[in-house]
Amino acid sequence: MAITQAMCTSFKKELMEAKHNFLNSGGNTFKIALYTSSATLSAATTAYSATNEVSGTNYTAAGNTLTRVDPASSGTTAYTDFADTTWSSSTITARGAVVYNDSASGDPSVIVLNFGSDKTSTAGDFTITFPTADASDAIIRIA
Amino acid sequence: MFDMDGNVGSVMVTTTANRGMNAEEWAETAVRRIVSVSLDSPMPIREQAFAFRESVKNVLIHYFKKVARSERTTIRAILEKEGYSELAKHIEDI
Repeated sequence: MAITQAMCTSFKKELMEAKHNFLNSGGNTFKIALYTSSATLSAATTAYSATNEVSGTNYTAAGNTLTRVDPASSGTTAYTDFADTTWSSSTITARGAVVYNDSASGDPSVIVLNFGSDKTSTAGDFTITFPTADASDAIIRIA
Repeated sequence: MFDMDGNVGSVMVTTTANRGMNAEEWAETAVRRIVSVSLDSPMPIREQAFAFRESVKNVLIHYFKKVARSERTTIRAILEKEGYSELAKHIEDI
């Protein structure tokens, strides 16, 4: 049982199959689901699963819908971003997350995130802040 | 042959207990998205960037607090209009 931060290998293949569209206007619906430390997630993760997904006050199974930011590029690196997301008035303990494509058949996964330690909100906010959208920091980068 | 390298950035997770995030916490999340500082940049430039980031953060805190105060003023006005004067006073005092 471990969560290893990674870009999913299946996602790389699916990019070549035109399965994912990150455009702000007309793009696919991407969601972020939270997981407990009991989950096993890595580059080998291929799709959203409810196994070991967190449960708690004001957390709905399958997670939050993300707001897309148009992909951009700088130098030889292309990147995309999402707006920060918050579970308000929530009581949640999570160790990691999976971003996945809710529009595509089978809910294919995009990336796995490891928070480094258990993060807990208690009748409060649980906020995920995505990094600055640039070629060296953005959440999803292809060089 | 062409190689493609996919990378994943690091997110920041902020949590609270028995309250929402305050102005300082929102400012920290906002400034991380506004100003990024490369660890590879020369020290004088990094120091300047960190100083700028701190300055932006302080401006954000100032205005976020004003937003929170304005929200409470609006809520108080609504509650008073509906006849909940005592509750309205508590909201304003938070």
